[in-house]
Amino acid sequence: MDIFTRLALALALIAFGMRVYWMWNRWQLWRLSRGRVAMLPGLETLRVGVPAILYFTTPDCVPCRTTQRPTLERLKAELADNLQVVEIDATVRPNLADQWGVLSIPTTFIIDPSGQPRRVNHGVTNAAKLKQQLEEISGGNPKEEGGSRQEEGSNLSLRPS
Amino acid sequence: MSKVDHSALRVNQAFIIGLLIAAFVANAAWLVAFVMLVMAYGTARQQPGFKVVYANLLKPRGWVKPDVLNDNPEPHVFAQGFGVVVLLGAALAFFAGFSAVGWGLAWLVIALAALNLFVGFCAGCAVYYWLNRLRLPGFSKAPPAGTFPGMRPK
Repeated sequence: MDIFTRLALALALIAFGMRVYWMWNRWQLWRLSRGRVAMLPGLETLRVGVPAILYFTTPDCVPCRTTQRPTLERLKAELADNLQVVEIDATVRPNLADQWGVLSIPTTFIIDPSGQPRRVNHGVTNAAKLKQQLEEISGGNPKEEGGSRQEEGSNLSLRPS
Repeated sequence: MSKVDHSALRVNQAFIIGLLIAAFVANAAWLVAFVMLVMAYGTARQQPGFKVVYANLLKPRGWVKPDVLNDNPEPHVFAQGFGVVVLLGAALAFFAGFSAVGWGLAWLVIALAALNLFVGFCAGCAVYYWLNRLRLPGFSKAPPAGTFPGMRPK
C-alpha cells in the first residue's frame, strides 16, 4: 500500500468512527424526544415557545466555571428573552444526568421552542456553535425535525432583543 | 479516592491517537514502538505517558486547562498498561512480518483511546472495576459513587 492509499484508509476509518459517534448522539436525542415536554425531567420550569439550553455541570468542573458558564451568560445576555438556560448540577441530581445520558461534564442540550431536545454537545462548546445550533432549530430545518412536535408560531428570531 | 487531572489523560489519549494514525499513514512501525515505550514509561511511573507534554507545555501556556476530578488513578494506569500490552503485540507482529495484524492492533488502541477521549468511556478502567468486583488481588478500587464503571466521573 502506498502512502495515499493508507491516508485514504485512515480517513475512511476516522469518518466511520465519526459517523458512529454522530449516530449515537442522534439515537440519544431520539430516545429523549419520544417523551412529551411535561414528561422530560429537568424541563419542568421551561416556558414553551422559547428555545433553551439545558446545561449539565458540577461544582468541581473547572472548564465549566472558566469557559462554559461565561459563554452561556454572554449568550443569555445577548438573546435575553429569546433564550432560556436551565443549569443542572449533576452531583445534586445524578439520576437526572443519567436519564439524559450525560457522559461528561459540561454537556449542553439545545431544546427547541416546543421543548424537544434537538442537539447535544459533549464538552465545552463555544458561543458561535451554540448560536448556530439555536438558529438551526428555530429556523425549522425540515430535515432535522425528526418528527418532533413543533408549536405553531414558535419560530423566532435569535436577534438580540 | 484522590484527585485525577482528566486534562492530562485527554492529552495523553490525543497524542496516542495522533501518533498511531501518523504511524499508519507513514507505515512507520517504529513510531508504534515509540508510543508503546512512552506508554510503558508512564505506566511504570503511574502517570499518563505523554503527561510531560501537558505538564511542561500545554498547561503552563494555558492552552489546556486542568480538569481535576475525584477519581481513582489506578484504573487509568491499568488501562494504559493494557494499551502497552496490545501495542507490544503489534510490535511483535510487525517484527514477525504480520503487518496487517500489527496495524489491526494499533487501530484497536486508537479506537479505545478515541472512545475514552470523545465519549468518556475508559474500557481498560471498566475491565479494572470488573476485576475488582471479582475481588481479584491488586484491584482494590471500586468506581466512584454514582458513576458507571469505566465512565468519567461527573
